[in-house]
This record gives sequence, structure tokens and C-alpha cells, in this order.
Amino acid sequence: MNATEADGTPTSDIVVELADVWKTYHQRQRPESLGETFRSLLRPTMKTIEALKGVSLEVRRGEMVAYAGPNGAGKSTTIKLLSGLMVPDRGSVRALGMSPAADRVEYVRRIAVVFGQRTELWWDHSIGASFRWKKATWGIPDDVYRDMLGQLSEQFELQPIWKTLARELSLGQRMRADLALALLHDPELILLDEPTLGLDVIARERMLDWIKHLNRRDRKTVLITSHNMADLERLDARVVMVHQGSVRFDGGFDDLRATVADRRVMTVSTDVLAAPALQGAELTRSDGTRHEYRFDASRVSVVRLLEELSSTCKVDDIQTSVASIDDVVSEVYQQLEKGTVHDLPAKALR
Amino acid sequence: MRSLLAANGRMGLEPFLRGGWQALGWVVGETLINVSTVLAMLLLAGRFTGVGPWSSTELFFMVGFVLVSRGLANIFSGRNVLMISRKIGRGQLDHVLVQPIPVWKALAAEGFSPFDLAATLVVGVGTLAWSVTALPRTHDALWFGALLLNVAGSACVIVAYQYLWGALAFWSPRGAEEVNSVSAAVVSDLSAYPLDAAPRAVLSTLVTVVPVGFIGWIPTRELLQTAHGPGVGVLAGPAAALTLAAITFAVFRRGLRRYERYGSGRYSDFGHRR
Repeated sequence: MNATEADGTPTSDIVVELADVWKTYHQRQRPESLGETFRSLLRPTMKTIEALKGVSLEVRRGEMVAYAGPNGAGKSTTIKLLSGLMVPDRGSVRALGMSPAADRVEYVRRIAVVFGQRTELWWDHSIGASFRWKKATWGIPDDVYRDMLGQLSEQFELQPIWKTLARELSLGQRMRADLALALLHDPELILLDEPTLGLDVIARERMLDWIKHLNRRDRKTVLITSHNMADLERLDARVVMVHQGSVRFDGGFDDLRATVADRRVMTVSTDVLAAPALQGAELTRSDGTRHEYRFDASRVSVVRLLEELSSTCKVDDIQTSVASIDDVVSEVYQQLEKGTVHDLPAKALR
Repeated sequence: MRSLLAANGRMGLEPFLRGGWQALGWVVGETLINVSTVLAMLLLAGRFTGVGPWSSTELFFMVGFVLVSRGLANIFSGRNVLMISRKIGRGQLDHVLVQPIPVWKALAAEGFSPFDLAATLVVGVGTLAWSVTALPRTHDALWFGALLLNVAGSACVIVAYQYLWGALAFWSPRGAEEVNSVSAAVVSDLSAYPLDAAPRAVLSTLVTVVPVGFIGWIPTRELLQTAHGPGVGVLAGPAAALTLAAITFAVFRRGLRRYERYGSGRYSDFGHRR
């Protein structure tokens, strides 16, 4: 029994290793006029998109990594590189001691990949048929298949949908079946690309619980991408934030919050329609006599804001809360866009 | 490989058996579509005593031969596996690449549809069997061996030819789908015609760029001539198949390398595993 099995924490065994990985796409630009169209036949205009710019990342066995970033940040490209679907332009991609693309056949036997917008299920077939197909394709022995199916069926409640055609499932049910199918061969490394995309609140909660379970109870190494930070925060994972192809943050969610100071939200019910201006706080919303302010608690205290407010109007009620992780991340991105990254703690930024 | 084929064959059988009338309708429709592609030649062979140097029985032999070859190619390349440009251009090769088996094996298994796509093969075998018995000569085991070898070669030419044009999708996904549709139509329309009277330039094209001559005309001509005595001509079809397969393999592999470098930016699950 290794350290992971004993205490459920990651070992020092590096499972995923990306070293200075670069990936560039070339996008042909479509001409607008007829003349340009003919010219572009001979000399097409190409736009270069740098999806990954020197990304380096290590993931240890048993670790759960939330690979976060806005659309177009390079998340899916990283998952494709790690799935063996693509090769980098420069740099090295290694996982489970192998090169995903060069050792594809052996490598994919030990990993699972789930793309939120795609399905591995057979569309016009029952869920059971897709599982039997996977058993034959992956060459899963009968006893292993029976064991895994028993576990997965219980965990993912497959029985009620076992004989249902994939096309007849709701998105939540389909994702549940897709995740279970991906785990049928008992993979060591699980790559999930936006698995909660499009799911309703309940289905998303359940999906996140299952993923957490996979890492905590089954001790699987999980790399999950999402642009929904609240989802990723629920997983309580190490967060790696990519922005415009570069890793900009690598740490815990608490560290991430700390990078943009102690953001708080204060909502007050007053007797005035026009929200009073408060020094050190930014008005974010007004709804009748109810006003919402955002402020940095490390610079200005709630008491001081309340005193200032009381001097201008009557305060009936007050509520304060920590800013949501989405707000925090939004602020980080804004600072990155503005080029004010030097304002953030250097230890958090890469 | 056997369990892979069995699993995929079963995937084809299950929806086929879901409704009796639907299954029957499918079989009748599939048969009509495939027979209609060679109907002109069947009518010519039936109406006249022959076309050029070909007797009507020999024409039936060619039609049967082509239907068997196309039937064989079909049952190993259903579900858009023969129209590979669709899989490549729509990014569906990703699903193939995440399977722990070589690409060729995954495609051959996925395309295996012996139940829902067997109509052409059945009609072809019937036509071929009848025409062989009607030919005014006897055939030995060696000849039947050559016949089987040529049928396999002809099926290989069909698949390799479709893959060669389909592989264009690695470079031009949208355009290749159109080209692949035309290349498939050419196989349907021209593979069961005797090309003896075609002008030299056309003939050169039909045995090189668009090698439909190697699907029906050359193999059956050589097989019928071989019945008069030994001839190495029967190896022309299989040799062409090997050559075309080698070229296709090289082009496809190069395309696959490109796919790994650039991926597909136009993923669509349309037609995937349906």
C-alpha cells in the first residue's frame, strides 16, 4: 500500500508533466469582398492563435487539479494534448511515464477522457449496449467487467437507464452514463473537459459530488477543466488558472482569493432611493432603497462604512458576505488584461 | 479482432431488429438502391446478346462480381467509415484515437455492419453464382481461388480509393466531404461497365486517378480470359489493390500526423455512431 492508499493524499509520484509546452493554431481569415476572395486563393490571410505559451505543470498521483480559465484560454488544448489527440509544437508532454501521442494505444488504456460536449455512447443504442461495446473494444476481462459494472451501476445509478437509448436521456443522465462508461476500464488518470457544461443545478451538483468521490474515495488522479469557478471551488482542488495560453496562478482557492485582497459585498436596506456614495466602497447595484457595495475589507472596515452611511440616511438592515469566487476571478482577469499583474502577490503568479 | 467485430456487428443488428416492418423496409430499400446502380447494365445484358466483346452472361458475371465486391466493402465500412472524410472533417477521429487499439482496427471494427448492409452482398452472390454456372466453360479450383482473390482485391480498391479521396479532409474538411460523395458516386456508376470502347485518355484516367477499371472491368476480363488457359492477368486487380492501398496508407498516415498537429476545429457529432 502506498502513501496515497493509506491516507488519501497525493504521493510524490508525478503522473502528469508538461514542460514548456507551446501550441499555436493558424486560422484562415475569410475575405469579405469578391476581389479579396480571389486574392486569398493564392495568398490566404492567416491569423495565428497562440493557444499555449510555455505551459509547465506537474500533477501528482492522487491529486485533483482544477484547470480553470475563460473560453479560449487553452484548457481544451491541454486536455487534447494529454489525451494523445494532439502533439505540442514545442515542449514536452508526459503522462503516466509515457508520451500520450507516441504511446497512444498503451496510454489510453490507462486513462479516461470525458468531453462535456461530446459523448462516447452509441446514440441509437441502449446504455447497456455501449458498455458491452466498450468491454470488447478495451478487451476488459469478464470478471473485471462484472466488478466494475457492479460498482459503477451502484454509484451512478445506472439500472434505471440501462435499457434506455442514449438519445432518449436527459443531458444529466447522459453525462452520468458517459462518466461511468469512461471509468469502466478502471483508469488511473481521469481527464474531464467541461463535464458540467449545460447541466442544470441539481445535475451539476451530483456530477461534482461524483468527481470529488472519484478523487477522495477511489484516489484517482483527476484533471478537470471548467470556466465555472464556483464549480471548481466546490471540488476543493488545487487550482491552476490559465489565461491567454499561460499559467497565471497555481495554488489553493484561499490563495486565489488572497491575490485580490479581502473582497466583501455589503447589502444595505435604507430609506433613500439614491444610493449614498461611500469612501472606499464601490456601488455595484441598486434596487429601490436597497443598495449593494463592494469593498476591500483589508483597507476599510464595515463599521466605518456603516457610520458614513448612517450619517446620510436611515439604515434598516445590513448584510455582508465574502465575494463569490467568480467575482474574485473576474477581478484577477481584469487585472491581467490591464497589465496590472504586478499588483498581485508574486508567489501566486507564474 | 473477432470479439471487436462481434461487438460491432451486434450494434448493427440490435436497432435492425427493433421493428419487423422497419427491418423489412430497410432490406428492400437497400436492395433496390444497390441493384438500381447496376440496372442499366443488367437491362443491356438482358436485352441484347452482349456489349462489344462481352456476352450477356459475361456482363451478368461482371455485375455479380462488382456487387459482391461492393457488398464486401460495405459490410466492413458502414457508419460513415467508408465516407471517411465525414469522420475526419467533423473531428470524429478523436473518438477513434481514444480507443486502445490501432486506428485501422478501430475503423474496421466500427464499420462492421454485416446485418444491415448485407443486401448488396446477397444480391451479388446470387448474380455471380448464376452467371458462373451459365458461363459456357468449366472452372477449376485454381480459378475459384483467383476469383476470391480478385473479389478481395476489388473490395480493397473500393475502400482504398474512397480513403484516398476522403483523406483530403485532413487538409480541407469541408471540400473533401463533397469530393468523397462524388468519388462514391463514381464507384456506383462506373464500376460495372465494360470499358473496352472507352477512348485511350479516358481509359488511362479510369485505371489511375479514378481506378474504377480495377473494380470490375479488368478483374472480370482477366478471369474470363483465364478460363481459356493460364494467365498472370488475374493478378492485375490484386496488384492494383496493393499499390493503391500502399499509396492510401502513406497519404492517410501523413494526414493523421497533420490531425495530431492541428486537430479539428469543427467537431460535430452528426452521424457519429448512429
